[in-house]
Amino acid sequence: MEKKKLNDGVRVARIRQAQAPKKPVDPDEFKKILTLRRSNRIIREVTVPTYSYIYDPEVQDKKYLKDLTLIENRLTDLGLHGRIHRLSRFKNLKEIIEDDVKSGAKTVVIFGNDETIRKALGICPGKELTFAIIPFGEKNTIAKLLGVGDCFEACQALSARLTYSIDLGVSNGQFFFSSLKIPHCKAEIICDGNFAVSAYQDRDIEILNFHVPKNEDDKLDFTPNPTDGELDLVVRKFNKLSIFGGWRHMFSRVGRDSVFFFKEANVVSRDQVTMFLDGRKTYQQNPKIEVIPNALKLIVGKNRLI
Amino acid sequence: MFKKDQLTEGGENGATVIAEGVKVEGNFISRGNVLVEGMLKGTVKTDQDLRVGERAKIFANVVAANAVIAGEIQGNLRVLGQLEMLSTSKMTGDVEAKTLIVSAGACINGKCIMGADSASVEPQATLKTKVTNGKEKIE
Repeated sequence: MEKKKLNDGVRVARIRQAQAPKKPVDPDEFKKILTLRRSNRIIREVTVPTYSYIYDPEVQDKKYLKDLTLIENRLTDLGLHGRIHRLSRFKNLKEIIEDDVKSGAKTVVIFGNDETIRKALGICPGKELTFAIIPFGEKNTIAKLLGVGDCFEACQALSARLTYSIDLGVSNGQFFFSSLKIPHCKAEIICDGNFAVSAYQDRDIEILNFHVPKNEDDKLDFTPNPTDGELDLVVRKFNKLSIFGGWRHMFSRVGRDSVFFFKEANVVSRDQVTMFLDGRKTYQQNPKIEVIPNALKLIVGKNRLI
Repeated sequence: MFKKDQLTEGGENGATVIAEGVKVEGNFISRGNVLVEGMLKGTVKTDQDLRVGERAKIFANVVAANAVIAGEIQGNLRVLGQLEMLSTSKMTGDVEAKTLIVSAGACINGKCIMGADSASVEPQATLKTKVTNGKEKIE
């Protein structure tokens, strides 16, 4: 009888241990110590930075050297240390980010313009990474939309760490952050398996998560929402040749844009479809386009426009 | 009923726009306002307002909360609130609406069921008449 009681007591104790809630681990943002133990001795301590800084090749130009130095000093003052990667022809952006993720980096800071941002944001979604942008050079529309149009504003935003989750689009395994364009589309697009959209004449079709206008004339009749868990299918207005208004306004858009909302779409076409994913030209056969809700975490400023 | 901002701004507030020159086929279900100026085949359902432009053609059964029709519809139309048929509208099919406004020049070819319980009303059996000796008698 006593033995049975002891056994029961041991079993109960083990069950209670298994059910005990595990204490959450608080990650130290500035220091992560890796320990290697052999025979109960600490052999090596390695500090791994949690920030990864990626410099666009344009940023490394002499004309930006002064601004770059000021920003680096500012980041040091704020205590935001990290490993710096200078992109070049021989370095692959995807491999750099993947290596940093393996070694423990949680935040990737991109120094560059819209093109660099688009390349970086289409890489490694699904991992617990936060992206930040420090704009340099020309064409920084994405940074302005996120409220970090100025380098120093971006540094402040990075220290404040206000994050915003944004959807990401994927087409046959290729990710896109802002838009997917199919110029002169003759194909039929089946949305959510419910209805099919087609145009009588060749029209430019855009699938938008986030609209980044190329110029002042590139406006939409509505504002896409990158956090609604849906992509916006826009059949653009018809391009009409016009003699009046000079050569700049030779082609004017007539009528209205058609707008549809979907989570999953299939493009049905006999031939390969030429498409531009965030400006990258690609060819796909019958692409399947989906949305991944809240796939990207971005650090944004107070004056964001999304 | 339709605020200009909602429809002129296209997809604002989740409004779907089918512009001229665009064709949609299938079961079209929307949670927001819908503006149709192109062609639509199949079925259309929306929880909010529907506007059909002058040059629009719909070959579908339509269900909407409120509607303003200025184009052509071939199919049954069921509106849970107010239905307004403008002068250029042409309707071929049954119409159910709580409130109906018909402008001069609108064309409706079909049954019209109205009232607060229009959505729940089943169609009544028609009375059979027999003509005998030039006079109609109800059977």
